[in-house]
Amino acid sequence: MRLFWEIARREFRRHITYRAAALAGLATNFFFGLLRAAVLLAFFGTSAEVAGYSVQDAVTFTGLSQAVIGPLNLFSWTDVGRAIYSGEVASDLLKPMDYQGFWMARDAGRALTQLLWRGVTIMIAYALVFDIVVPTTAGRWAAFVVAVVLAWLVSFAWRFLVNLSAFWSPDARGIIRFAFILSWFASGFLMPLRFFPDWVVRLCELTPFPHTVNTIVEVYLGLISGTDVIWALLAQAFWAVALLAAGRLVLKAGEKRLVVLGG
Amino acid sequence: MSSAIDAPSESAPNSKDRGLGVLEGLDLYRRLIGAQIRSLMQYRISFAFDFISTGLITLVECAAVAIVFQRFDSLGCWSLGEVALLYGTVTVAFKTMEMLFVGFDPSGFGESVRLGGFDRIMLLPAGLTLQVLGSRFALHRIGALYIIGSTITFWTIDSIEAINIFTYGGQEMMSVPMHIYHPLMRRFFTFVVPGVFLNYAPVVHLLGREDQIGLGPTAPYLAPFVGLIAMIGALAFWRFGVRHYQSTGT
Repeated sequence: MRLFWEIARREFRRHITYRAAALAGLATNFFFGLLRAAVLLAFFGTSAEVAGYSVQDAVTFTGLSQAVIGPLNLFSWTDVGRAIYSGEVASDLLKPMDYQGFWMARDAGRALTQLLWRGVTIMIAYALVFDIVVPTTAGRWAAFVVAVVLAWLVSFAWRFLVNLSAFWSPDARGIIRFAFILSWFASGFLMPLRFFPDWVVRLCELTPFPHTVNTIVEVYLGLISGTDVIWALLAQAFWAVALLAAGRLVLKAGEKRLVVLGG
Repeated sequence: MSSAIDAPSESAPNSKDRGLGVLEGLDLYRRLIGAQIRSLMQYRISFAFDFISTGLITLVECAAVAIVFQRFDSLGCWSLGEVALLYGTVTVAFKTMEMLFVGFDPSGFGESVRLGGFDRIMLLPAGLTLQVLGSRFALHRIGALYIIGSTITFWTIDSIEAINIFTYGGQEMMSVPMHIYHPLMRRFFTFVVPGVFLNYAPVVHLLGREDQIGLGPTAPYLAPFVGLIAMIGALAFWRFGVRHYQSTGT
């Protein structure tokens, strides 16, 4: 545990030094948020509420979904796949540590930097430009924090799992890319899932993706309340555990296949 | 590398000044691209994956908007079909641009500056612009902006994510009717990055819709001129960058 803590801390420190890059990323995420907010506002037109979303909820949705791009690594993550291709994986597997834990610790450090540099700052910038929703009860804030942590766990677990395809396929990059593209739609990142018809939502719920962005948004906006919140968090925890376990199994199988050329 | 920078060819990085005629230049470009396509075709499955996933991105984006159209009646008084026309025109234009100018893609070009690949190109007896254009070709994927973005990497060395605001941001912005945006953002994409002329103005004219943002009667026809001016500006900036380029020493 101590080892993972140190790894996470170092990764956090490493990432937090790239201030210019963080600023550029922040500006980009924020700008795209403005574009997306304008589109949703135009969709709403004169209607005050659609599918449980008020205009204010919709604008907040665009801010929140842009804010989690960094922490949840929504666009791409091929670090483990690259380590497998380069053979770097072999030396890390020789070390007396858990390989999945090693990457989880690194991802935790990185996610925390992103959360501070990009996530929180985008929401502050949004609050300056728009009249956004801010939870008022301690209970909702607590549920929101838990939802963010669990969403990161689910996100890391599936990203790690698809990256392991590099053990088998020389085209893992394509497979990983596929998963990411599907996740934009099914996680409720592109549009809130509530705007989709029921049958589309049910299809999305067959995947782990809604338990990342969509759950964070619904908990933050208070679209679900009471015991529904507990169920949503439990569903996140279930997917996190299931995917982490799947990752371990697949890693075991992958290690057996691993042949690294010396040189 | 400083000796290479003093060489006469570096101050005039176009094919003409290097003793290559337009025809030879085109022929060289054709050969470079031909080699690129052949190398892409060596990895067929990889290529198929890239090809399908690029299609999937467009599909997923369209589906999200099209499905949401069922909840709402219109997007700023535009119907799904009309927005689709906007989206289609900008996507085709942007992907064509990416295909031709991917050699200037700031992320890839930044790496060649960082690792010294660009220094090697400078030593070869052919036009620099042509070589960078021919260095990569994307069969699956606003040229002027890419060139500007790449030139900036001469100074920043690392590629700058913020340039995405102008390229992908412009593409995203042009996918929906321009009048829904705040006047400040509209002005940005009219005067700073003149994207509004590329598809919004012509599509408004084509659909016979009222021009809601007051672009004037000539706006639908301005795209070629705006494009030409932007390209000339970008190439001038590129030359300025090449003249002031100091290798990273890698």
